[in-house]
Amino acid sequence: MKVLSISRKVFMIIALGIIFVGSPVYSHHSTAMFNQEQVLSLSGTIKEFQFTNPHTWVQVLVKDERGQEVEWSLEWGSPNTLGRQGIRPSTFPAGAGVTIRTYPMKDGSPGGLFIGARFADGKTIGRWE
Amino acid sequence: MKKLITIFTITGMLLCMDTLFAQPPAEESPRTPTPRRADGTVDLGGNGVWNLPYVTNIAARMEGFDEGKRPPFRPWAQAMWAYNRSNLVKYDPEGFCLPPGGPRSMGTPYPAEIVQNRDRILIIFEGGGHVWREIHMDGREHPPLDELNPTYFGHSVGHWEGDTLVVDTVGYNEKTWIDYNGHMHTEQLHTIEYITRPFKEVLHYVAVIDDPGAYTEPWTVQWDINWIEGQELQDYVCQENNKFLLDMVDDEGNPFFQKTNGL
Repeated sequence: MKVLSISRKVFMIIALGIIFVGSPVYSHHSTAMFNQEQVLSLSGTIKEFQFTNPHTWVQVLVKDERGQEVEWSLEWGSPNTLGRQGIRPSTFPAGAGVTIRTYPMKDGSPGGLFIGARFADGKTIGRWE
Repeated sequence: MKKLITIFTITGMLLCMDTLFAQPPAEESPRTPTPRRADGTVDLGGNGVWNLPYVTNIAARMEGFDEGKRPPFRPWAQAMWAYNRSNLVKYDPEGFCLPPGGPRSMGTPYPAEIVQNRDRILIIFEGGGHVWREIHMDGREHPPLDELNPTYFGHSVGHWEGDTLVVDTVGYNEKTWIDYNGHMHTEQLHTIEYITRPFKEVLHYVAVIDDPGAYTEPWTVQWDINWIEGQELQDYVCQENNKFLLDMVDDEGNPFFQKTNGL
């Protein structure tokens, strides 16, 4: 796991970017639980893509420092908005290897706000710069 | 303190987001004449849907807000608004997937469709938990208030004043907020909405919020809603997988809901 610190200015640009593209994660549910000053990078395998209302969840199995598999829950947009952008339940096939970028939970629990993902073949989903 | 500032910065950004979302149609946007029905009344439908903007702070849609004008709060309503701000609006009913109710329904994300029948107009909302409003157009009046069970959307009667659809609603329950920002209301809420379609691509929405229980005088908000030609409504069942409710605790630290092995 690699934790990247980003500057406040970059954070603001990213945050405004999210707002301008209208990420549905910022709907009526608070995002105060996410640390949006840190981008966390995780590598693992997809367990499940919960293509559900009000928001979707990317469930990823990630090995921790002791080699134990931990299930991470990464919140993404609504199936409505993502569906209109071409995202499908099959976008994250179970068992696929991915690297995920996320704003992690402030309380340290294995979860976060989904930013983007990159598959082994280089294909990217969401925001990946 | 820095974290606190960050939280407030994020919150502030979220709260001003509706103004960022509100994109008036660009000059080069098409302006097709207002569609009309056979009887000459304005057609509020067509082959498409209305792309409701996300109006998080309805007060920001008051004329004069930027110059400091604010809703004419009664003291308790102002205190509750401040309290709602202090806990990052965690008690917002819509966060629990309850319906938006009232004018908030016209500023809650995901599109809506307006269906005009002979004696009633239905507004079908994809968001807000997949709900609809019914507006009686048959000339009836509201039932006496003591015969009206309070509901999320209240009792709506409408009529045309020229090309303006005027919708008068009473009988709201108190289980909704006026917006995400934390403005509340009482069962005395009475709304008058003025809906026009100045040209095909835009619905202009005006709402008068008249609630002597929470505000000292009526106040008016308004925004534009853009048309998306060809788009259709989808499912949206908010309570399907609302995970945060399971982790949410009240002011005493008690969980709202119990985790189960569930569905």
